[in-house]
Amino acid sequence: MDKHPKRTHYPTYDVMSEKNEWDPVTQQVLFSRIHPSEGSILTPDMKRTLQALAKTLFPSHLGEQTLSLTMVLDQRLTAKKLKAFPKGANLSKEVIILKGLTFMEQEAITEHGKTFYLLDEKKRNELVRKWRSSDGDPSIWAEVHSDLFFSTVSAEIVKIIYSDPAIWSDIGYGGPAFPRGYYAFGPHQFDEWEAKPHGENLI
Amino acid sequence: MARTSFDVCIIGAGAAGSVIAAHLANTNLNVVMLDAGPHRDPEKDFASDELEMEKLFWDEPRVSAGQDPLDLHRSTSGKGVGGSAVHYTAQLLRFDKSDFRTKTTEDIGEDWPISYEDVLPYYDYMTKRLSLSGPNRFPWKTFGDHFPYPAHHDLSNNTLKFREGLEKIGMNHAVSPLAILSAPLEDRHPCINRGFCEEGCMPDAKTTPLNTFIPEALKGGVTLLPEATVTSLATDQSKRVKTVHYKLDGQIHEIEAKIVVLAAYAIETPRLLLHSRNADFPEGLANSSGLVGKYLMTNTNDHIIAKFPEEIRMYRGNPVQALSMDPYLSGQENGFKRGFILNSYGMRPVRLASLFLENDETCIGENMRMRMLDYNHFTSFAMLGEVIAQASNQVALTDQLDENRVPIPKVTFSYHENDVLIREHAKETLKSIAIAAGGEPLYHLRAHAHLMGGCRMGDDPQSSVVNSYGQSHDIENLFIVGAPTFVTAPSANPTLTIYSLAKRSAEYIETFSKRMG
Ligand SMILES: Cc1cc2nc3c(=O)[nH]c(=O)nc-3n(C[C@H](O)[C@H](O)[C@H](O)COP(=O)(O)OP(=O)(O)OC[C@H]3O[C@@H](n4cnc5c(N)ncnc54)[C@H](O)[C@@H]3O)c2cc1C
Ligand code: SF4
Repeated sequence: MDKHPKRTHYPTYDVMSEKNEWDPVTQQVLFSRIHPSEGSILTPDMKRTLQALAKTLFPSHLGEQTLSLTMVLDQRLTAKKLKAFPKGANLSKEVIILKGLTFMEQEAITEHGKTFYLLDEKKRNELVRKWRSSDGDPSIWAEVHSDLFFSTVSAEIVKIIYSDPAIWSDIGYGGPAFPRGYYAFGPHQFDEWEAKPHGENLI
Repeated sequence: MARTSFDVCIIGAGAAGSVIAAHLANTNLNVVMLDAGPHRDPEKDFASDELEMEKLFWDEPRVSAGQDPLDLHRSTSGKGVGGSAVHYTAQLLRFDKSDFRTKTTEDIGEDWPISYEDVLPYYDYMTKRLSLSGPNRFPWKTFGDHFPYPAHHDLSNNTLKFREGLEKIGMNHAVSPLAILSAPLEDRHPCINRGFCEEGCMPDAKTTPLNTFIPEALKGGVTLLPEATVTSLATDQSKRVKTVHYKLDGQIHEIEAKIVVLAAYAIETPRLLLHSRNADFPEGLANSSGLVGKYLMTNTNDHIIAKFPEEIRMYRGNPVQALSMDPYLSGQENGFKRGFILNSYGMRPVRLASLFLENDETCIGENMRMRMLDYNHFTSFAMLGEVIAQASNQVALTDQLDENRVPIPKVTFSYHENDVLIREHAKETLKSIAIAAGGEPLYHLRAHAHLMGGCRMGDDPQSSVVNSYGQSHDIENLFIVGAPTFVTAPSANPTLTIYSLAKRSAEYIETFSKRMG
């Protein structure tokens, strides 16, 4: 828990406890996010690399997450959701992520003789720091620069993390709100199904 | 391959295309309208979820380059029947009189070939047709008046703080004019403040082409072809456009039409024109001026995130609820030209977290978590800034082909120095509003919204692509409607003007078709 210096303001709030109030389509969307079907794009090795990378980039989020990040990303890749190009690039997000995961392993093996997901935390952090500032081994990261890979993969991971109902509960976000909507308006007024307001005077 | 023929073929069923279709449906013309995306049903195909509803955004490859590469997907472009208006936040404003004459009044940009007065009857018509809601005493009458529906009254804490701050620093403020029902209309319900306007409105309270012009067009007999992507246009010996090629169910088909209306928004419209070049039109269709794809514009749309001691919960209520138009022409007193508007602008977690990361690459891991844990204490106030047209900001073609064998477009964009001055000034104004309301401004998030230009209108065929009705100077039976024809990018949101000008074009097309016989 030492890695979690700051805690949620809403320790007892659980968005999912209200799921029966949501419309059927949204319920289904959330169900298949929490219980994703197998995708077909990421190899088992890529999934391990991605998992290890996510742990390095978002250490404490992962302890709080209920989603399988790798499964959701694989599902999104399989559904062709990542065919657009990131800004400044002429390759799809899919190609950038798949190649980047492979290059990570190549460089980890070249440098440490071990795949990335088997390295200790310190070595992983060192490599990630180097890659993020575009210092990847140029003979490996020629097709996709390591900084482009990191900005692309981080953006995708962030979207998935903040689409996780467990994280919504942590930040006190009301989540899906159809068909019931919001009715209580005015300062300090919230609908009774939302997170209960916590102590005032935060700042 | 199917080959069919129609009087009019409309490409793109978004804000502009759908208005043309609805108007022509009431004539005896035989009309077809194609859209690259599906025809969605809000109740079955929408969800209250940001990630899922990414499906409303344009998802095809586009290269975004330049010093300030644009977001060519989420923040700007929709795909599917209803176009980008399916996920707009529906703040609908008229432009200012000066917007049509910036060259004359401030010696910047270019004058439009039409004036505010030319558009006024159409603004009036659309205000009613779209059942706009708004205050009965709107402080800025040129931007909106006589709203048929009352202003929204359930205002979020984000909006209350925004208005409190403006009040304290002595600026005018009002509830926004919105294409969102504040009371029932036939079988449509008023807004329930669910907050997911940018994900598509499930209760159908937001007025979009899907609940107005599209049903009207279908009722009048327009043939609508969803998931039909137009890949090229061909001309005949008389140098008129004659054939539209499109891909549907994996195959290329053809439509022959007497009139073609291109309503495919600011990137795909110039892309199709450039790609359809032939021996008679070696630089692309409608491009004798060389200006197809040039003068692409956006609006700056930066946010200030401030932290308050009490809980705000910016996810409650429709995102954009209140505004101030006071800084619209504030440049004149502050050393720059033109100006900006101010909005309260609530964001859901995926959007906010993504903007944090986009603006600050160190905002991952623990930094991101620390910020987002205070989500409920944040307000988000935004500016919408005018962007100056520059010929170097443009859509061109790359050598890379997409899955339909059409060259992938490349969009080059860099801000003008005036755009930067507007942003800086707006940033300080937004901060002072937050401070006056009792908040601590923490983060300045740069973003942008809307695309305009790329086929600008004008009277002179050498310095514009179409006339004020959207008719190509070079090819008389080819029309371009919607955002691409804009000459400037005013800070008032563009879509009321898009709808209004489309209505004006539709009347002209009707007359033109009679003349053609
Ligand atoms: C998040 C967001 C919020 C917004 N909020 C506001 C707001 O509050 N107020 C406001 O005034 N405006 C707002 N806008 C802007 C508004 O949505 C656009 O200005 C408007 O929809 C543009 O109209 P259009 O008809 O030119 O293009 P669109 O509405 O985008 O329609 C173009 C259509 O063409 C189709 N198409 C493209 N290429 C092809 C092809 N090759 N073949 C077939 N079909 C094709 C597309 O699928 C699309 O449906 C917002 C936009 C976004 C993205
Ligand atoms: S806030 Fe209102 S208009 Fe927006 S999606 Fe919800 S019900 Fe529709």
